[in-house]
Amino acid sequence: MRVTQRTDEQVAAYVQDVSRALGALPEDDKAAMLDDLREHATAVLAESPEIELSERLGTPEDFAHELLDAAGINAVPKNHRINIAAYYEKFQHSWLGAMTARAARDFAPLWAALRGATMLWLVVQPMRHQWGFSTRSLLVIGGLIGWLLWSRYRDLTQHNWLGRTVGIAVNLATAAVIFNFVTSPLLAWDWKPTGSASASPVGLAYNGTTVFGIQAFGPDAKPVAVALFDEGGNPLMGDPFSTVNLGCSSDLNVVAIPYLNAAGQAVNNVYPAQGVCVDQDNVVRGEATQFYGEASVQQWTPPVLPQPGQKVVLDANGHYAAVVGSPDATNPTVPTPSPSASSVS
Amino acid sequence: MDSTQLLKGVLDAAVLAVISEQDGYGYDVVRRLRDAGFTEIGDATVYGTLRRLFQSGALTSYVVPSDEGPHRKYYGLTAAGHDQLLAARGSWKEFSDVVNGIFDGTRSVA
Repeated sequence: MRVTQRTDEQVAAYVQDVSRALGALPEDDKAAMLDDLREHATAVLAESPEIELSERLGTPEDFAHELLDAAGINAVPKNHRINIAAYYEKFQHSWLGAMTARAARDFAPLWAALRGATMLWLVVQPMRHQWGFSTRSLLVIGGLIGWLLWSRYRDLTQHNWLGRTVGIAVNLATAAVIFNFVTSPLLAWDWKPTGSASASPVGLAYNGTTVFGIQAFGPDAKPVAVALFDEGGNPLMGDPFSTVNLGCSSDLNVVAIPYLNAAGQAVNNVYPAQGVCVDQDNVVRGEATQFYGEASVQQWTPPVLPQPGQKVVLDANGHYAAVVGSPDATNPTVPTPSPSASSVS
Repeated sequence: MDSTQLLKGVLDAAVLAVISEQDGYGYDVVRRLRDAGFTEIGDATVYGTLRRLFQSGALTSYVVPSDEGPHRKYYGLTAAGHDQLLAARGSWKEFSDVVNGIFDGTRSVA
């Protein structure tokens, strides 16, 4: 049994080396040649179990060359062929090759996790903002998937040329992405896409949709000039020439005129925007119409807030529907509701 | 003189001749060629020749199950193979007569 196993292993190894040395041949030709060789090598070892196949048949490279030469296939002179397989074998048996092989074995699970994380990140990254994924969650989920598929990865990518090609491409892509991350300042966990590379909406977004022409209104239901900033002091909408809520007649063009701060500098995120209408020679013909705010404000009545002591009625969606009851008379600070308020008694 | 160089010219005919006596598998053909005197012939050379002759239509093949190991692929001559062997025998006889005549001094080389 032990002899049979040794024979099988030796034959398989020799056939594999010859296959590699045969290089790129039509699959049918190669398969037929290797079938013959497998049968032949087994017969040789059955006759002389103690010898090495390479002693009897020559090195795999010599065997492959002789085989191709006799078969009249791709008979390139031996000394003109770049014997990659021989170099690879030499490397495998070197100190560096042994170290590399050991490291590859030890780090295989880590590499599998990195591969999974990279692939998921590449696939989902363009949509991750819409889907609500963070970079960290993508990497963790992808890493877990890669690690779980680790033991099956070789099976999945070694069956045919397509699988092998995909396997190589995935490993190369993983290496490229990791190299890019390591050598760029984008390594931070909280990396946020910027500029045109971002797939997220440009400008100010509400529920994932870009919004324009935000209006601010004062207590008198009239638009007021406000500047909008985020918590970091950055302008929320900085388009200096936004004309989204300015209009002119069809023969004129809108030119937005920025506000000026106390230092005389243009401040671009102040709303409502103001501008002028110009003709084709850029001669001002009048003030641009603010076709948003004013028109909608005309029909809008500011609410009268329910007072302490009154009870609000909510609709089926939990939204305000009405107010009932009287204000708490014991609270002297509560003003009397306006007669025009929409209270329901 | 290196006999392998001489063998190259007649290897196809030698393989066809061996198989014409009896169908055989690769290792068997190698052994019979060696037993016949081609002791230096390479295994891969014979397999490559078998492959080439098979692809040219001179040989046919069939698989025979074996209890001792992998199934064996036997080669046999086709009609085209027989014709090729006959032509090779004729050419070889003519060629060897000329060479023998020169070697024996019975044929003028002037």
